[in-house]
Amino acid sequence: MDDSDETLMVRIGRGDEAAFRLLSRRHLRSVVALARHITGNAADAEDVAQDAMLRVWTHAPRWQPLASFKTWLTRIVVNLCLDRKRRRVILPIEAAGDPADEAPDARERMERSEIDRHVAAAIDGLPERQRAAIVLTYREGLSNAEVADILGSSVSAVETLLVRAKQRLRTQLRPDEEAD
Amino acid sequence: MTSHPTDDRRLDAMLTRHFAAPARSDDEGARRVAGRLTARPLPRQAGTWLPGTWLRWPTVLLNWDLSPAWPRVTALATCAVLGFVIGLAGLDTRIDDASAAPSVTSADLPSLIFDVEPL
Repeated sequence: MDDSDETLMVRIGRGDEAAFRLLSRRHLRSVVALARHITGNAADAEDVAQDAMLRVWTHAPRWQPLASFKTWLTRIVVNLCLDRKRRRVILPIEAAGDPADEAPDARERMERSEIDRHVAAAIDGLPERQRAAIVLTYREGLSNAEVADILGSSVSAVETLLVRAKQRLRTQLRPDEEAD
Repeated sequence: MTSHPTDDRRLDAMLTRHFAAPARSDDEGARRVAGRLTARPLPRQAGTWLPGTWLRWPTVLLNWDLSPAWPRVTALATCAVLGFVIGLAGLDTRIDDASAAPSVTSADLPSLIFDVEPL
């Protein structure tokens, strides 16, 4: 049986929850990782991933394979991450719900090399759109045209974002580059 | 500030290594999110308020995607030709030899177009 993403989306559009669970299992890890790299926060990344998959479910009946499912999902995740940054508000502690388990992140950071920590901190310090452009280019391996399509901007704007992002990273990471 | 090509390559390599490193927290985060998705019923899907799949056809009419689609163009052309034929022939006449010749009655629209030459 053909269980490509596009085939599963057709089934999900008909209300097939099993197909939705299969598609979620296939993509959730990369969605969480992408959201974590853009938001810089594990808890936000999980919320974004949940919202993204729920949007996949609710919009499946209208989805048309004009672009690949992966591109469409990436666009949803990036937009949710950028919206989350723009609409960040202070909520009372009771609205926080179950906190994300920070222990794995803390252990993860201890296991990373010093250079990797500096790189992560430098990337986290970038403006959102520059960070999104860097993550989509280096983590997802997308071309400038694909990044422009996802960010809803032009190729030249993406190139500008990348140039500026790399200038800031180079300034912050120069001692680490020389040590490499 | 111009960048040295070596600096670019080093930065590219550093970024590629950084993003290639797997994070165990992502697996655990994905498991938590999957648990949340199965913990409660999924919301209603868009466009499913009409019962039955055959009632979804109105959404096709509301589709403003104007890119050429040959099935759609063919259906439109067929409707146009059919309407033209029915308009000329009339729904109340039989398509046979007896009714093929236009009527000479002055009230008939075809008589305004086709001036039948008397034998």
